[in-house]
Amino acid sequence: MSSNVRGEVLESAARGAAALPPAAVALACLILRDHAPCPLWVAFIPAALAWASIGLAGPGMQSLLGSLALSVALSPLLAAGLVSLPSSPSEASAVVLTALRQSVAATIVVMVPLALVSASVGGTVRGFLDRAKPPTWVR
Amino acid sequence: MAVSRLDARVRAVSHSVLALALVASIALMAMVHASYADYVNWTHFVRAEVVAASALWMPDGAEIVVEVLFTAPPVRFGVEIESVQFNVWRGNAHYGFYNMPAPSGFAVAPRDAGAHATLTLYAPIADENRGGLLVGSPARIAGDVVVRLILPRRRQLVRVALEGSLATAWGVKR
Repeated sequence: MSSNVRGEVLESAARGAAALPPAAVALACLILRDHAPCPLWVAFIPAALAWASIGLAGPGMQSLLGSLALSVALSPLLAAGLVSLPSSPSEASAVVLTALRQSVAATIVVMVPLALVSASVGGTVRGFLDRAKPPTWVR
Repeated sequence: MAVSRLDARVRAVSHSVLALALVASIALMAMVHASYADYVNWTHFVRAEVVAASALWMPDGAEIVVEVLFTAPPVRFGVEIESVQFNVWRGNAHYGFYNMPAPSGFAVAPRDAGAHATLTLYAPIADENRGGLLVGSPARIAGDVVVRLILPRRRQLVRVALEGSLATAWGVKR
């Protein structure tokens, strides 16, 4: 039982960690939107797909929320790091602060709702596939 | 058993979608990062300097001639010089603000090539500045080269600092 729980926690963390880069890249593209080679909304597709895939996997409620929380909460930090990479050491701290402020705001306004909606869509598809059974995290 | 097989399939699809999202985001970041790194590098190494500048008496008035050398590293986006703008000072005396537009669409370098362009521009000197500016020691030019960067999703104006001295000993007063 304990190993089951540990396995579930590890799987949840792994899913969250896998969804973290797409979320961070979406935020970085939002900050660096002048440099994006495509419309801005395209940058959010990988993140939405990642979260939908987590919902599709049909984890338990706690596991699902754990994965989403991990990817959403850490994405501003990773985005700020990505944005500051080309900066010189003297400018890096100012760039990180600005990027962090913008990405935290974008996380609250865009990423949290997007994560919840995407995971719900994934869960709904999973429930549809199961037909007889509702999504496992609803039980 | 059927449910477990379905579960296994759905999980496999879920993992594939997650992997696809991961790869797509890495590819997207690589593209954005390349352009952004170019931009940061460009802003660090772009330089503009006055090669020669003179205030001249002309048959129909007086004018300033400025020759500017503009150098910049190679970038993936287009770079065009819009204008050269500067103030002329001698000590604390101000001898006017000059805005010299570059020829329309003057591209200093094609994409992926470093810029090394020399630009010679002219502007008339206003009547009230002629007397003071054209006589006496060299004056000082302080201003910017206004450059238009054609980024993937925006045209951005950037000012590159420009300083130099303005010679005043040439020309023939009519």
